[in-house]
Amino acid sequence: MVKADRASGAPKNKGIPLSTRVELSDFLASVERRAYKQALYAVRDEQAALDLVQEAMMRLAEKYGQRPAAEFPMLFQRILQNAIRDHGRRQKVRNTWVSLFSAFRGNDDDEDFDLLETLETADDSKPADTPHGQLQQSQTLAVIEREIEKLPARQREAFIMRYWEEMDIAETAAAMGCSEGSVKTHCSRAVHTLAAALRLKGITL
Amino acid sequence: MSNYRDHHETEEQAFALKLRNRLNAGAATLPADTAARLFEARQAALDSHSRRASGLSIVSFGRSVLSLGGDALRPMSAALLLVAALLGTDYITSSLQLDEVEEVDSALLADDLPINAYLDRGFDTWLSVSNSSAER
Repeated sequence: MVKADRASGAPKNKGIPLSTRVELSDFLASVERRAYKQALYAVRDEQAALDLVQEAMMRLAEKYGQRPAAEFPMLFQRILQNAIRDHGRRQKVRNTWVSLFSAFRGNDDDEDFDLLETLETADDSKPADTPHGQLQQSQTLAVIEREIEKLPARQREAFIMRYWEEMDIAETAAAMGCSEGSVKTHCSRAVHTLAAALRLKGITL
Repeated sequence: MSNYRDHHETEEQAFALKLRNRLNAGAATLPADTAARLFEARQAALDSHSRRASGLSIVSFGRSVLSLGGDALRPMSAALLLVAALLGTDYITSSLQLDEVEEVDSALLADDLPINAYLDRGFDTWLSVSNSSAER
């Protein structure tokens, strides 16, 4: 996590109180579900997503636990994204080996995704008091999440940090290691792609 | 032109806000076992954080001493630390010297040569004579 160190720059924090265990706990509790979803959109595997979130939490606590709490969102996002990227690289290497031995197996499951499967499990998990409304909501959510998964990685990261994590442009740029202009471009493209995809499916929010 | 862009951005943000609400609703209804795993992960991270915080290293000790009383008293606490270090070194060296003197005394007293020999002037002469004869 050398990059995160450089991006946050320790000396400028002189005078800002260092964080306590309670602050770290509050931060992790507030961010853990979104972080899990974010990892899930990227790796599409629940166990791997949970492992990545745990890894990111540990790394934040061990290496940056003493930093001011205001820096947590940026640092955590940076750590999580690095972890997701590393996981992607490892998967790629593994897939290469797997495809070497089984040339007939498709290397991506993009095409055989069945929306009904997701909807059924989502519906089973919570007995609804208003079944129709619940069903519609979970259907819409599944479509949105599916479209977020399809976004290019950088656009997805920018969109999630800016609009879901509510980080400002400067923080997002620092976490992503790019310029503020690129953050705006990524966000704008992501929102437009999502809007177009939902419109195509006849979904209005 | 800028009006158009502003309008565009507002529209974008409004749409993003709606998406956010949907996503939040989804995150709020995670399966129980997933939520439990996240809770465990958080606890493990917090445990490692407190283990790290309580581990007393020389650096963190020095920092906690220096941070006594905040910024204003920092030079004074540094000076106190220095004085304490000097006194400590002085005490250690003086006790070492004392040990040395004791050793010499006990060696002198326990020697076969009687202690009065050193008070005898003839002994000194004898020593210098025997030394110079040995040199030759």
